Parts: sequence; C-alpha cells; structure tokens
Amino acid sequence: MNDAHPARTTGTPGWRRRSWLRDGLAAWAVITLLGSIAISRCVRLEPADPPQPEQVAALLAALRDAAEGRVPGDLGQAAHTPLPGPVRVLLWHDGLPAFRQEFEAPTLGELAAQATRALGEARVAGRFEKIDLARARFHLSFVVGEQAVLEWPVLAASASFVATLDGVALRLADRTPRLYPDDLLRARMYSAFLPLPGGQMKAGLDVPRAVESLWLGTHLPDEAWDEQHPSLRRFRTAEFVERPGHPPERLVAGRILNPPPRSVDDYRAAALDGVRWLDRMLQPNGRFQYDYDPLADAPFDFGYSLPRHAGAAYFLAFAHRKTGDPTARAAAARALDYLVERELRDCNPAPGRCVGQGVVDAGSTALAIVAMAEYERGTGEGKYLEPLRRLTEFLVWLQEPDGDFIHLYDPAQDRRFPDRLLYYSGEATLALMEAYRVLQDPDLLDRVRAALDFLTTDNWSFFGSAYFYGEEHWTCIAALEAFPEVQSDAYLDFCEAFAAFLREMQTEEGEPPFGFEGAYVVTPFLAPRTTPVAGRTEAAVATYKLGQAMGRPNLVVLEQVRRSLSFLIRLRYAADAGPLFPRPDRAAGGMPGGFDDPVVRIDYVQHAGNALLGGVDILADYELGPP
Amino acid sequence: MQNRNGIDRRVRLGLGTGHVILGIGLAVVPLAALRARYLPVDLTLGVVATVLAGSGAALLCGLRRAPLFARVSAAVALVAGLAFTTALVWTAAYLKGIYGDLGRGASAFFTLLVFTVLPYLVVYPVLALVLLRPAAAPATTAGGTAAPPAAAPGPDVKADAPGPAVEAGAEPGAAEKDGRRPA
Repeated sequence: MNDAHPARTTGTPGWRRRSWLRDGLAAWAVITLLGSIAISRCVRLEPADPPQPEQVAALLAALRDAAEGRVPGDLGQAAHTPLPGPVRVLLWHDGLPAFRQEFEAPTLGELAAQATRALGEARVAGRFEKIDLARARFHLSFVVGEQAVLEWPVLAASASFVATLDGVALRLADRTPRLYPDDLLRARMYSAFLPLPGGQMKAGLDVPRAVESLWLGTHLPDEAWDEQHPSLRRFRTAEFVERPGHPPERLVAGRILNPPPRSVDDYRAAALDGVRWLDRMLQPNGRFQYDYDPLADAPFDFGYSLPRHAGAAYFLAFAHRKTGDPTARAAAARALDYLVERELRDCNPAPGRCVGQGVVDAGSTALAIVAMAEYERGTGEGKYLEPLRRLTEFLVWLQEPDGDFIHLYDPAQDRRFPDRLLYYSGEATLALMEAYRVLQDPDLLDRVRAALDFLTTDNWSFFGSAYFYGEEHWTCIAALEAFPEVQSDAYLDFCEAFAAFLREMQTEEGEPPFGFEGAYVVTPFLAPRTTPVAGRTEAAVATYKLGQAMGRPNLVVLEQVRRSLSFLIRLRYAADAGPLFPRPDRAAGGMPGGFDDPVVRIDYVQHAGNALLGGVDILADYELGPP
Repeated sequence: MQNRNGIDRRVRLGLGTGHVILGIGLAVVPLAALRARYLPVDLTLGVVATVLAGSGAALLCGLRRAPLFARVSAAVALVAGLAFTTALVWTAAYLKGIYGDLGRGASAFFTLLVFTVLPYLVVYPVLALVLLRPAAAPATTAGGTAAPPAAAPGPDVKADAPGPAVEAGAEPGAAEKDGRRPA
C-alpha cells in the first residue's frame, strides 16, 4: 500500500465511476439535438416557384376563350413552363363555383389543353347558360409544395397546418383528394379545433372534419379505408384570380390584399371607407347590423353589444371631428339617438342614468359618454349634453375610493358586483375626461387623476406584473386626452412600457409564416387578427402623442404605428376584395377579423378607423416608404 | 471496508423528503393544472409519482431496501424527465418546421416548460442517483492485491456501530451514518 496516494487504494472517484450516467446523459443530449434538427428539416415545406404572372395571364385568357366558346389563344413560350404540382381551375360566379376541376399536367401548355377541353365540354353541356360569364372570375390554384404531417395524436395533426395558407390532402392508393385553403376557410375549419382559454377562440385545423369531408368526397365505402392506405398531408398553393382588364391578382387567405399605403391620404381614405361601411350597417332605428359575413352575404352573429354600438358611434363622431365628413356626423347622430331613445334608463337607486337593461355595465355607459362628448366637441350642437350629464353622474357613482370603477351593477337589487372585466376601467377613465372636455366640471379632473393613478401604478404593482399587460389602449388614450390638465411621468412611462411590451410581439416584413409586418402575434399557430392590431395601435398613437406633448417623442413608437397601420391597410376590404364573396361591394370599407376570420364587425371597423385617423396626425408621407 | 448500502443520514432524510414531495407534486399538480385526462400522460405521471413517493417514504422510515428502491425511482423519474424534455424539444422543432418560426410567445412557453421540468425530473433524479450510488467495490491496492472483503457491518448496521466510514469522502467524525432500524 502506498500511503502517499490513498485515493488509489479506494478506486477512482465516484463521479468517474458512474460513467453510465454521464454517458447516458450525453447520448440523450446528442439524440435529442440531432433528432430536433432532423425533424425540423423533414417537415419544412419548401414551396416551388409558380408560373410568372404574365404566363398565368395567358393561361387565364385561354380559359376565358374556352368558356365563352372561342378558340383558345396560344400560350407561346409559356406553354413549356413546367408545373410543380396539380392545378385547380375554378370559375366563381356570385361567390359560388360554377366550374371546378383539378388537373395533373407537366406543363402549362398541357394544363391549358386539358382545362380548355373540360371547359368546352362544360359549355356544351349547358353548365354556363345560367351564369353571367362577364361577371364570373377564373381562379387558379397551383400546388407548389406538399408534405406529410403527423397524424397522431390529433392535436399534433391539427397544429400541423398553417391557418389560411395550408390545404389538406388525403393521399390514397389511387387518388389524392384535396381541400384547398379557400375550401377550409369557407367551411370554417381553420382555427376551429382546440378551445383556447377564455372560450371565445379556438386554434388548429379541425382535422377530423377535414378528413371526413375528404373521405366522403371519394365516394368509397368505409370498408375501403385500410386498403387505401390513407396518409394526411399539407400542401401550399399559389393562387391567382382573374381581373378583367387587369393583370391577374394573387389571392391570400381567399382574398385580394391591398398594396401597402403610400401616403397618409391612404389612411384617411381607409378610415372614411370605414365610415361608409358603418353607415351602410345602420338600420332605420339607429341600431347597427352587428356584423357582416362576406362569404354568406349575411349577418354572422345575431347577438349585439351596446359597448360596441357606443364605440362605433364614438368612431363616427371622432371621424367627423377630425375630417368634417358629413356622413360620419349624420351616422353618429343616428347611432346616438338610438342610445338615447331606446337604451338609456334611470338606474335608481343609483343616481343619473345608465345604458342597457338588467344588470348594467360600466362599459356601455362609459362609451356612450365618450361618443356623445366627441359628437359635442365636433359639432357644438348641445343635443346630447343633458343625457351626457346624467350618464356621467352614474359613472361617477361607480367610481371607488381607490380610483377604479365598479364594472357591473344591478339596479333591481342595488347590487354592485366585484367582478372586473377587460377594458371597462380604461373606458370609464376616458369617459370622465371626455365629459370634462364638454362639461368643464373641475371635480371630474380629480376623479380622472385618481383613475389614471390607479390604472398605471396601483393596478400593476404586484409580483410578476413586469411580464405581462392587459389591453390598455383605453388607458393610454385617456392619459393623452387628460393632458395637460392631468399629467404625470408615470402615465407616459406606463404607456411606453406597454408599447415596448407589444413591440416584442410585432411582426416584421417577411416574417414567416404570413410575411406581413405590423401584426401582433404571440405565436404563428394563431393567424394574425386585425382588432388587437388596431386597438394597440390606438394606444401606440396616444403614447407617441403624449410623449410629444411632454417633450419625449419616441420615434420607435412611431415606427411601431407605421408598421401596424400598413397591416391594417393591406387587410381591409377594398371594392374588389375577392371572388369568394357574392357581394364584394357590401364588404368594401370593412375590416375583417383577421386572416382566418373574414367577418366584419362594427368594432373591427371602429378600432381600425380610430387608429388610422390617429396615424394621419403623427405620420408624414415620407415616413411611409414601402417595406 | 464499506457498507455498500449505507448512506448518510442527512442524505437519507433529504432525499426521502424530496422524493415524497416530488411524488405528491407530480400526482397533484398535473391533475389540477391539466383539465383534460389523457391516459399515456396520466399513467406515466401516476407511476412515477407512486414510485417516488413510495421510495421516499421508505427512505424516511429507514427500510433496509429503501436506498435501492429510491435509486430505481430516481432512475424512473430521470427516464421520464428525459423523455418529456425530448418530446418538448422535438415538438418545438416540429412546429418550427411547420410554421417556419415558433414566435416569441411559443418559444418562451417551450423554454419555460423545459426549464420548469429540468430541475425536478432531470437535475434532481441525477443528484439522487449520485448521492444514492452504492459504495465502490474494494479497489485494487497499489501493489495489485485485492482489499480484503468486507468483514463487518451488514446493510442494516447501526449508525453508531464502530467501523470505518461507509461513504467514500465522508467527513471524519461527521454525522452518523444511516441509522436504519434492524430488519
């Protein structure tokens, strides 16, 4: 035994002896890392290039010739263009497909030959006799990429399709039926599978329903399922739609997207288009048609929301104050008359008057005040001063000692509910400030100060509050409106921090998978929506203006506003938004809910319009260079 | 001379408590947090939770086979933890392949989830496996002769029984070794 080296007598150290553990962990790390790289590469879809627009234009001309009974024109050199996959040819008429067929052709010329032959046969069969071919539009879908996806568990399968961009294919032994993105959009299968917290929204493709639809379309008996060896695949398309007199247009999410804005006039024009859309939605009694589904040319949700009614009236009054537009003024008055005549009531034992029946909420009353005050600020008519004063009495009564507000009140039982709802405290704060601008009651300023102090400091002073925010656009609008009578660095700091938090979620131009700048997305599993963009842009506009007024303009916020307004301009419905809509003129000026939600609702237009008009104030033309 | 199943009393109590808390936590937290019931997940969690809590209780009670049982349960937890971490990483890779990007929210979610799981189902089990490892077999002396076989205390030796330190690297005169009751 060598006493000088006692360790040798007891063997190697323990951590060296346990090499199986160390080696096992190392092997696990290597397998996990290499596996993740392999998986990511295997499922990545690399779309091929579709034919050039001029080649597509030549093809569309040939198809129209065939449909209208003429000899199809020659494609010339374009005939030799190879095609990356199958091509679907659709002829839309009043939002319905009058002709639909999928072709497998190696080249554009072969595709033209097959499609014109099929169209000629359809014509001879009399299928185009009852449609107005001049109004009908051809739509081409080139399959440019296809990839297998996980089929199990279903949750993984549902998350394997990019909403509005990916179609679903069921590869069988002898055929591959497909549901194209517009099929899935029309059947509302996108964002329709996994309920998200809150219960209002879902995520993921409804894969069971898609597979059932595809299988039913094959007309095969259920017993044939196994022998067909079905496999689920996603595919990407390049979509073109015919526009008579113009080059073909690319379709995204079933619609034609607008080019980015070139000047602030585009903002103003878009906002005023929103005014026209809301004006068209006003019914004879002054109530709005709540929403419009352009796919069905009908209302979508038959419910109604008084806060949103008042919010839409606010936008109309604001648009009139900012632009002097007479349609906005008249529409605002009609919407406000409806509130005054049909929805205002005494809220005994509470003082003043409130909006709505049964349990009343602070939001309806607050936004009614905001709308009336905006109307009075823009017109000076004095028509709504008295109801505004009575509504303010009620709202003041709802304020609590800490500056916050009661959100729900039941006059029948004189019960003030402790529940807190999104938006209402900010709306109530803005309402008190707007009421001050009209009524000039100095007591209201103390109440506004208390409310803003609560919303910007006390309300967000808890462990973890640095990591998230609520929807604070009303708070920041109120902080701007309150300046200079009620001001504090804390208000601007709060709104700057909120804007910075939002910037972390804002997309850049070309960012996958949708590629458009200015959207606010937590994750690409959810298709971008317009209303969060619009509401948050209202907050960003207010933040920039407040900073400017306080000598601290933040140019980063200005760029944040520009990006988001670009997104809104691109997504809003223009006069010719797409061939899937039976009446695109009725959608024109409206703002859809998002890529996966074509429905226009009154508050979507309201928030977008307010954001756009705010952008007019702070952005100049030279700052709107195309991305 | 070593007691090959002997462990320090503080280690025994610490790991016993840790195993019990982790076992109960694994049984209760996912049940409360995940509203959907899914057999593969529930069953795996149930098995891991049961063996962890059971072996932790055995360690606390000082049962003779408790260290072995605790090693097995730590190994089971480690395997489950590594599998879960791999599943999370591969899921993130799959979604990134599908969408081209995970987005900041989803990236933060996966990162947080991985780093929430790692301490409990990877780091802790590894630590437990290291601390509960059996003592080394008698090593060859410098002269190449095998050390004499263990002559004294059996697995259930009393902590205060005379004899050499049972744990390599144990502090001289440190707290008593495992005071397990006689079987």
